[in-house]
Amino acid sequence: MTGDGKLPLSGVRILDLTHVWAGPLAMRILASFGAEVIKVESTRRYDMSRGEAVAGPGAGRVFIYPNADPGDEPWNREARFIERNYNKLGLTLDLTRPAGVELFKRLVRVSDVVVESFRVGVMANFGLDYPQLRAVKPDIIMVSLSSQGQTGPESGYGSFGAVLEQTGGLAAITGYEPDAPTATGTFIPDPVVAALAAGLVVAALHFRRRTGLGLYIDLSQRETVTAIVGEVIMDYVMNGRVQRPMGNRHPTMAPHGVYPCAGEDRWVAIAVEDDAQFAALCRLMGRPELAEDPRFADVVSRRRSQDELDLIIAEWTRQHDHLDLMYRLQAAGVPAGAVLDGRELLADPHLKARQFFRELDQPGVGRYPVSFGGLKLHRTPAQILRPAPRLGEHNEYILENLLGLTREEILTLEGEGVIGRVPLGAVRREVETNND
Amino acid sequence: MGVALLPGLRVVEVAQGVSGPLAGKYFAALGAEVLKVEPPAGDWARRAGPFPGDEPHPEKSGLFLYLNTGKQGITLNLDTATGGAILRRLLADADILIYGGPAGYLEARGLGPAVLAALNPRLVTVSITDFGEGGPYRDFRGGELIAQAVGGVLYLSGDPAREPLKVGGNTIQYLAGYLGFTGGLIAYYHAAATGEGQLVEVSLMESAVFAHHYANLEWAFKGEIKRRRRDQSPTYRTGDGGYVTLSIIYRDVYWPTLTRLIGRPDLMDDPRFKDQASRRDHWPEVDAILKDYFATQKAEEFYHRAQAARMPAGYLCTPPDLLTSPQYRARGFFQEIDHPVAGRLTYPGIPFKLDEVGWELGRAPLLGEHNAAVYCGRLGYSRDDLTILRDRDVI
Repeated sequence: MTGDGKLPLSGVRILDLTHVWAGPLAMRILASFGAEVIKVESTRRYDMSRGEAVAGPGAGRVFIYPNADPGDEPWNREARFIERNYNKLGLTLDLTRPAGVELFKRLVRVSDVVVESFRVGVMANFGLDYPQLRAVKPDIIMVSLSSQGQTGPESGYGSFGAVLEQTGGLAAITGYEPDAPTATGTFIPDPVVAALAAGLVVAALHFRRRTGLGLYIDLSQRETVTAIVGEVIMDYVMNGRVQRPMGNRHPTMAPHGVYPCAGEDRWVAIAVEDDAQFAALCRLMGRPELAEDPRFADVVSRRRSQDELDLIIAEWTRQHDHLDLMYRLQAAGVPAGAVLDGRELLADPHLKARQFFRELDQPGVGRYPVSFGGLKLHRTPAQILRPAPRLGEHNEYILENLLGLTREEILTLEGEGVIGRVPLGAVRREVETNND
Repeated sequence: MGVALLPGLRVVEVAQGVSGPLAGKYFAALGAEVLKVEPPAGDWARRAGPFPGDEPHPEKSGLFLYLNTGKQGITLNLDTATGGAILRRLLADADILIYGGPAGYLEARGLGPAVLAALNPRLVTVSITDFGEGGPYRDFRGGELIAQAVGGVLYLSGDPAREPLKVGGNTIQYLAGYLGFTGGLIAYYHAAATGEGQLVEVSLMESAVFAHHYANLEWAFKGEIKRRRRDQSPTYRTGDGGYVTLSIIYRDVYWPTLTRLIGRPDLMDDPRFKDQASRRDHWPEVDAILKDYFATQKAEEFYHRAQAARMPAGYLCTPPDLLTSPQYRARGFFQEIDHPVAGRLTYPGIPFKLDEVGWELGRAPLLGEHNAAVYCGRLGYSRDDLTILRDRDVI
């Protein structure tokens, strides 16, 4: 921390209209470095990550509640919502009503950034697109994180991470067999978009600090995925080659794979970069002669004989513990990693030493570890400042302190349903979202 | 580009491969002056493909060309004391150093955090390593596959009946690059206001954990091990040889739309599929119905039809699909860039538009292209000095 104890983004106020994963995670990063992030939802349409207003049958299995118990207020208990939204304040405003829009505009006047991830056109329908926000506050920074950008024939389309993997070009190179492309299973485009989007907000803040000007940023999540397979695009441009999935293999390294270990669903990844590492692997396997074997002695032969080689390695790894193998292989200089599950991640000594997870005290839910790491700033480290907001938790605080509303005015808004703390029933909401 | 977001920002990049160079590329695209410092043999990405006609050439690597747009390039051997001294001079008036490589590398060359802070208190150093600059795995060997393993991505990816499946390409390295870009900007925002620089660390392992969160949350909140599963976002082969991906269709918000889209409204009354939990329990049956249905469909056509019904569905796009995509064309995403050796090629662009401001890619530097400009023009060496530096393996 600095002498005056300020976090890098303290004094920056962000109105966060994003939902689900990419946008909320990006804004959580900024909140963890000091920005005041106000998450704006409504009782009609709240962040889908909160899950359901009324827990349906089996909700405890579909959603992630503490001890699989949705409790009386399931919308305030979903783990993914909590993880993606801690450090934020929570406000409800019905933006389909003039009173809600008016209050939002008053908030814009005292804010620096507005971020949204609605379907294209929703902000304009609210009367809150960039020209209208700029009319209210000329130097406002607005960021839209839509599925495919604000322009173009497919701009109105929605998506989740798995869909973006397909439409952006990542699924085409992911799969066990060349003709079986597949989704990753982890919705990886969302965190990728989050990592970039958080930086774009700060880049815009730099720009405003220097020029006094606001800015509109129109990000395409689909393009963001294509941007992370740049070399695959270049191969097609250069050679007309359409790269296919290659399972766990590598174009030039061998062996390069994920091998079974002792126990159920236990695996170790091994990625041998050169002959010396291969020789070290062979010694550990108790098969030093393999390093001299003409089938495996050089990388070209190993690449060619990798089916055979993988069987030999698997025969060995199967007899050992995956963590034990990682330590032994690494000690011998061979790149290896145990395939860690959720429990192992939380217990991992390295992640512990680096404080990747931190305990969050979430009122009404309990104390649970949440992800915290990813960006380690040594002088101004990220902080856990407050739990994730309950729906509408800071309505009074924000409306009174930032907008100067009276208690009576706030009660009237509540009576009219412009603000509130309880979702309007188990609403089957129309999908306006981009991600899971 | 008339206006830029980050003009005058001085970035020095001592990084090879994917992550650090990606961060540098985005700084350059936003108008920063990025100086790439390569070892005399060049960034290893220059030796990695793809190459036109599969003929290796240090100026024609698709990976290198893509990741190093808009930078100036010099060579400098940091294994020599002279090289280290020159880098210190370059960092004296830099805003951001992007480092990508083994942990402890800079420190071992007399360029640790304390030295850098004394040299330039405002300097932000972004270090992108496999495991971070500290912690018990610091000196482990990593890479993409290993990061996906220890970061928990692999355990969640693929078929539950098979071995975990790597997410294709260099995904975690790219993600780490974006995190480095963001971390550098946050720290620079602080440095510009307070004069205080600092070290920003990103690691591939932590980036991989950042890339999910399902596994740790399921364990922490429910005491359950999150496994690989097929029902989350299944992919189906279509009759025209394409693929369609659907997402969390068992959820109440999508199931009615899906049954309409596939012409099976009767499924709404089927007790096996009456709520989201039972649809997950009866997933094999749902899966079989969808498999048969999609065998008669065309992928891109279904994508547009589903999206028109506001159901998020995707179809598999390969590079030629993307390069001819009407959406990408309308957005002007792909960019033509000329390069003196590699020639004029189409590159993926930057995935956002900046109202009234712009971004510009520029081309990647040739190996040592700006040696004379930087060493003579900026640091005051003579042409004869350059010969000495070259002869002594410094540049």
